Amino acid sequence: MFSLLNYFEYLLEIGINNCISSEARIIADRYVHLHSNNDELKAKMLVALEHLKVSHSAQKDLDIYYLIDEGLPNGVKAPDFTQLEFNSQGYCEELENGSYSIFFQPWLKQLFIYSYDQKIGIYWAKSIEDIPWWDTTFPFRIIFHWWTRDLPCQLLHSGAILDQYNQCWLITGPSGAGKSSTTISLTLEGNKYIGDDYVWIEKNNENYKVYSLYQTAKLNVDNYNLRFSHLRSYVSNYSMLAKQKAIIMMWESFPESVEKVGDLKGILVPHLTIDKKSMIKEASKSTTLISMAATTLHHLPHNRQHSFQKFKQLTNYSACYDYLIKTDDFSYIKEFDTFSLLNQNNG
Amino acid sequence: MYILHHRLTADLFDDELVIANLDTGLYYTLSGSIIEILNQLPIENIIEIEKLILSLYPDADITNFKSVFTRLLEEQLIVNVDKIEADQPKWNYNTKSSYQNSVLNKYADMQDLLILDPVHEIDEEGWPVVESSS
Repeated sequence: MFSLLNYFEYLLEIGINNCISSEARIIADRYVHLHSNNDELKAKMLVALEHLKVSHSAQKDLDIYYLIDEGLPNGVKAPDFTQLEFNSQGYCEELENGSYSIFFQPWLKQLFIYSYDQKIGIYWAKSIEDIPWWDTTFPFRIIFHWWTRDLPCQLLHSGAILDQYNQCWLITGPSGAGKSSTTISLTLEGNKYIGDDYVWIEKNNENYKVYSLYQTAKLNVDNYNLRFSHLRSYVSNYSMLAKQKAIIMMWESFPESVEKVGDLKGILVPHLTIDKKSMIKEASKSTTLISMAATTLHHLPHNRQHSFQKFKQLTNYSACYDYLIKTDDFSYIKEFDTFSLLNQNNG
Repeated sequence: MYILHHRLTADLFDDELVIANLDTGLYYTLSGSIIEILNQLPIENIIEIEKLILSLYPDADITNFKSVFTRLLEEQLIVNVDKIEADQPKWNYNTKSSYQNSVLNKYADMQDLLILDPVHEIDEEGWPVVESSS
């Protein structure tokens, strides 16, 4: 019978005994220590978090051990999952006991485990080649999600922009809704980038702060070719565009345009249109909640009740808007400028 | 006996109820006077339910009510059971005192993705391998 506790302890011992490098990142004013057994793995996994790098800190809020078999004396033993059923989202209800969580997608040779009491996460992939490209754009996302269960925080599938008046706007919705292209366009026109895919939300008394998590902006290739090909020199994976989205390291490419935190002003849900004019108009809180929760909880299948409660509070607090984006011109940028000025004037 | 499904979570925004089945990834919005009936569940049978809505709202549009009630059953937001469990959920959402026609909207964007389950096999070391065709 598979024991999550025993397997966690087994992987942790391997991680501690084989760690060759440790680095710290600061996420939402908390210190995350990242320990690896392989330098190539480190380079691959930490680049998305490069903007959050800090010199080694004595304060530890979370430890993550991330490993590949290369360099381990005996590799990692496969867990005995024969009696267990993981769904396609990596979730196995039978194993969830409140103390440990595991994320394992049955067609990939990688897994994530977390101890809520010890605040230690472990990531293992069989080899560098077994790491899906997308996991390097949001490394350790599921571990951060588990970590937030006991914090006044929540990961959110959303872009975030700080406008010229220091107001932070979430741009949320499912993949393909226009989060990244809108966020990148607005960044290039004088606003600040906090994130375009996943951001960290934190309740702070009665207000909310939005923290940057990843510097990796991702664009669908068709969209990149159509509207962003002038950014060619910034695309870090140009030779891979047949199989991957176009990735731009925002912190490395546009350091002056990246912000690490902002005070939340409201939520925008983009809707792409070709026959209506670009417009930002008040939206119902219920549809905004569904836009936000459905997509995030699809990616993050653990602790959904906790997360949904946090989404409800966030939606209750926030002003909610639909952002109609006419795709064949850039009028939506001017519309956003007018909208942010209006909100600034209204306090 | 009609009861609320055990695994739902819900919240009222303005006059609209957001209902989520977090297991299936299905989300709904529900508005109108039928919310008051959901507050009153469990109720023995459909006759008692119709009596209740007419006593609360004498001007109720029964056709609209029945249509939305049927959809709630089809979507398994309400279920018909023989016995009530001790931890049966109970709702208590504020509703308008005057009758309002009811509307149920379903948001299933994520649900198709949730049921995907790629084929996989195990290699000689016990780790899964991707099917060559997938």
